[in-house]
Amino acid sequence: MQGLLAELFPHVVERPQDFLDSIVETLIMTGWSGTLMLVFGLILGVALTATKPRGILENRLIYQVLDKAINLLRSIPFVILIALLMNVTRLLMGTRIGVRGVIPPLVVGSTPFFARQVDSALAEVDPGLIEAAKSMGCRPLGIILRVYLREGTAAIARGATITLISLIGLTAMAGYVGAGGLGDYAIVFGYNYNRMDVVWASVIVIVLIVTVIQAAGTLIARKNTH
Amino acid sequence: MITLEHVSKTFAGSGSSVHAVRDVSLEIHEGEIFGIMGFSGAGKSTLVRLINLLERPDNGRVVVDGRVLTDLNSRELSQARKKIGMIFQQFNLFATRTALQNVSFPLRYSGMRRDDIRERAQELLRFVELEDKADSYPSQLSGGQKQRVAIARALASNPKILLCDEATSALDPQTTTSILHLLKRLNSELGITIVIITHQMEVVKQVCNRVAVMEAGRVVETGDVFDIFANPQQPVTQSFVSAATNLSRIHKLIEQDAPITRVKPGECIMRMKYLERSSSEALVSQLSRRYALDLNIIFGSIEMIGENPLGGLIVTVSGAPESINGAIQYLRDKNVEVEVLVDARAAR
Repeated sequence: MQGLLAELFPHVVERPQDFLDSIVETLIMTGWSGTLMLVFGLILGVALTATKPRGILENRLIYQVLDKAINLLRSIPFVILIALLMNVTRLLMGTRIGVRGVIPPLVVGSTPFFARQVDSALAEVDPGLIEAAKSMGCRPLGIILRVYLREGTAAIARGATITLISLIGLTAMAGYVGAGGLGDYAIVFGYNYNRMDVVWASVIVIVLIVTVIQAAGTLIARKNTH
Repeated sequence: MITLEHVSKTFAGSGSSVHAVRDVSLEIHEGEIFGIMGFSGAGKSTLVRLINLLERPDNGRVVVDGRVLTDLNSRELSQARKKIGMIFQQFNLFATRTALQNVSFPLRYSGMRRDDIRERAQELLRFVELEDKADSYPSQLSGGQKQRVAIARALASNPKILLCDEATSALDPQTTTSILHLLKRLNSELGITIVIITHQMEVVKQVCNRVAVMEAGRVVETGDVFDIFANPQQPVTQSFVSAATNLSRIHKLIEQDAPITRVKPGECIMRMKYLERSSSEALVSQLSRRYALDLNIIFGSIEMIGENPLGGLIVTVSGAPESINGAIQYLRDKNVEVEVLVDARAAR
């Protein structure tokens, strides 16, 4: 086994610590920014749905501001977003480099996308259910928690899966601010030295991570579909 | 129990606005089953939503059980809505919850203990005869069963009123009848006032005490169901009623000169229509015996409205002209409307 790995991935096996470090970096980046993205995206997505015209807490001003802000943020390429948020990042995290320095841009880069996913997931919830809940005396917060989020869980899980997977794509660019990760590892140690085994090893691990996320998302969606 | 005072509702559309409800005033009494009938687009669904303020009227007042709902703030309104159950054409059950969980929905977070909620929900499912489906999800239930669960859910918080928005329109006739039976039971056993929105005449005929007929956002006719059916005043009501009783088909048959409408000299075809309640006398045999007439029934349509027959007969009558005239007079005295459609009495 050891021999086979050394033969297939000579440069990875030569310095295994670099490879393991970059896996850990990718997982940390995805884990932290993914968690924050899920929380903020859910809140924003719910706010969009609720304040929309004919929504349960209709509010033209809030809706317009959210809608425009989300569109604006979604249109900025991630690499530029890192540069743009430089000062904010330093203020929030105390540094603008490394894993810590890349988390704010990752969150800002992925949250608007997830907010849209949540918004469209909640749009699939039958308006008749909202009406029924209102007729039973449910108040707006109850409708959000007990109807929208509960009935929309499967669709939200599917949206979260898509967003998390694209978030992993974004972490590949973390090397720009020295945060490392598998994308950086593949370029710096693989591509730059023409070591294809390093690139392949990165790809295999990323595919594995994506597969696990996809499987978890599908499972949650299926458990919530009756 | 429910009073609507000059309520109106307009929806702003793109360009033009839609006057869904125009200046409607209605009084629905405690303990009755009140129908609101109209063709689609007449504004019935909006009107029923004005009762629990799912739609807020542009003007007018809504008073339910002595409380002016239009004056309440949103918290008070939520409380008031718990005493007004509602069921829908599409059932609107929560797909991710079992029948039992759906019925429990209004009770959760209301300060009631979990065990008590469970017990109450099971009791309600028993009332709608679905206790064996407690753990089924809505997707595993038939349309009629879904509506039963919806009814149980609407009853959970002990409402005094139940609003039914086209509750049987998505069901087959047999299931419709069983749901209507259930509604009648709620009304008689639990004393719940029921408001039924429908475009189906059958529904009004089978269960309602009083009915309002809507057209273009207005209530054009209100009254006792039997009176409305026996003596419809407005064109829209007449078209509803004639569509339901089909006595008017004879005109078409006469026009087409169908064989059954051809009369021999001395005969005539007449239409007899019940106008009064409980006309359960044996009219046809009375006529033939007392006036020595031969009566041949071409067709008839008699429906039970509540406990009273409504409708009439189309008959070919042959006999002496004076006997026929005497019979017509006899019928009119009995408050049966008689119309001679084809007359060959003089041709003898």
